Amino acid sequence: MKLILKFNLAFLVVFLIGLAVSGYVARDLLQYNAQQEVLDTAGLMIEKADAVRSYTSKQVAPLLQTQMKYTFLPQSVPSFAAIEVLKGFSEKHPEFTFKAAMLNPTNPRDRALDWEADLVNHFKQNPDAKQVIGQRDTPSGRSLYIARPIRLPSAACLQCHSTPSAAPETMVEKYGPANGFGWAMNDTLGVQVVSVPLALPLARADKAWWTVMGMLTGVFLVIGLTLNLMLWKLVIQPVTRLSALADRVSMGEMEAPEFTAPARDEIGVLSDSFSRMRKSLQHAMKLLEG
Amino acid sequence: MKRLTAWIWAAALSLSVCSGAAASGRDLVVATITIVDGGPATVIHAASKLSSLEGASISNEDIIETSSTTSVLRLEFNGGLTLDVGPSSRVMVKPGPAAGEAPVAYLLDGWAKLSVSQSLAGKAVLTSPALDVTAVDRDLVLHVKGGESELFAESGGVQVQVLGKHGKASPTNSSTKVDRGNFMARHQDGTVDVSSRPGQAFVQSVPRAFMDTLPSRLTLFTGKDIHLEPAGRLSYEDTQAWLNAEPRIRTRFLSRWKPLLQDEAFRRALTAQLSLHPEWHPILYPPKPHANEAVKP
Repeated sequence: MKLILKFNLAFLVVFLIGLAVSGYVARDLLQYNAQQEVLDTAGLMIEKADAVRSYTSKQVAPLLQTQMKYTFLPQSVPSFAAIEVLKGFSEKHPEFTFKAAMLNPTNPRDRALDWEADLVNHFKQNPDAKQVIGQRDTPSGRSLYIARPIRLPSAACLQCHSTPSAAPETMVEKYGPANGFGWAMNDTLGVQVVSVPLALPLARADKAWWTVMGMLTGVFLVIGLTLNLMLWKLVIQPVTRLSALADRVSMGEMEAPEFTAPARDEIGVLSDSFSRMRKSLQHAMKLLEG
Repeated sequence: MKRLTAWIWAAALSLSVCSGAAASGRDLVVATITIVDGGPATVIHAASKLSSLEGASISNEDIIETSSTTSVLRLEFNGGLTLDVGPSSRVMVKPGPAAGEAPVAYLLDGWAKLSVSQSLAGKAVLTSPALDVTAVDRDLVLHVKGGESELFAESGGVQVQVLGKHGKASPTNSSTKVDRGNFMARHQDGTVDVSSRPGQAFVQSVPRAFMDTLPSRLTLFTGKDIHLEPAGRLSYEDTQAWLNAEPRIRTRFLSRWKPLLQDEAFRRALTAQLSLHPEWHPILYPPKPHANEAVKP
């Protein structure tokens, strides 16, 4: 087996093992990072919803207070404002879905589904819990979600959600006296949930993984080619020439040209040694002939 | 030239009427115009027609008339009371004696929103041809159009006295309480409906500015001496709606606008329409003294 073949076989084995190990490690790492990135974005969405909620409650609602006496304006409702603002975000990122799921909502649209109600109850039982991250199966595939509790932040909210008699007439007129009342300060009323299909972070991770693996393979190939070229030029080619010269000298062809090594490396030292040996052989031959 | 003469005459008349009124001590600054939004509005002070200006003071018995393009004109009274006047409206401010408990305003026609910082109860607070508001807790909107009136108790309850003909309390409709958020309509035939919510037609027609929560601007004009500017001659057409108003209002114009009879055009128009306001007959045609009185030295 030729030296270059042995070298390349060894290189290929190392390359494959290295690629497999790094591919496995990179896949896990990239999937974790992609999930974290998606969850960070989802968390930012919830924080944005909180900010809109607070802004609406503190600054917009008081300005619309008079208009609310004539006609109900959902724009003054913090949750409505948050959902509307995040609709704009969802138009650009349709994979992210936001919902403010309530156990006893004013608008029936916001009523919590079973799994969301479970989350609300989890936060009720664990008042110190800040968020829950999980996965669940949906008809369109596995989904990743982040959920944070909704608690009544200020007593001002009770104006609309304590009793029907205290609420604006226009609100009761629109939604009736049965829904969205009896809320209490600091009680867990619902959850804000941002869901993302799990395929999204996995697709992102896959894309990054293929890029990493492609680059890794490219680097290995370049290294392999370079090493092959250097091995050929610096070792195999001079050794082959030296070997051919040695063959000629051994066959008595003393007038064969001298071998000149291109560099003062190990091959150069070998070349010098061969030249000395050739001279010694010539000298010994002359002594025998004489 | 004719027009210039008329203007000079009107200015002179206004000056004489104003100085006369001031000298009599009748004028009392009761409010300040703090917002004039949209089209212009006119103030009739004594027998002068003036243009409204933000920051100008308004005296008792001044008349505010807004145009159809006026979005809102706000009057702020001392003591945290505000009166917003909507488009195409006619309002007399404090129609009563300078001293004493005069109502805040008389709404002859159009839209008015009264906001009080503390509950006002007792004598009439806001009057109109068909109903008088006798008590108000916070905010109310009153709309008068022809013989119909609509009242919305925006926040807080309102006590209303429904009037019959000639501005007298109707014997069949005693004082009515309109609760917060309720709506009352007094129809042309004198019937009254109170409902728990205003109808869509009313909500759609309420001046948009009435629905905004506007902060007080009174302090912006404190210490500033802003005067209303003359806006031409006060014609019969300008006064006609008031001259034809219910007796409790129209009789006060007999002395107030008597100087306008010096204006030939006003006198002619008033004479032509004398059947609509016959109380002016003795002023236009004062009884001649008896012959034996005339020959007395």
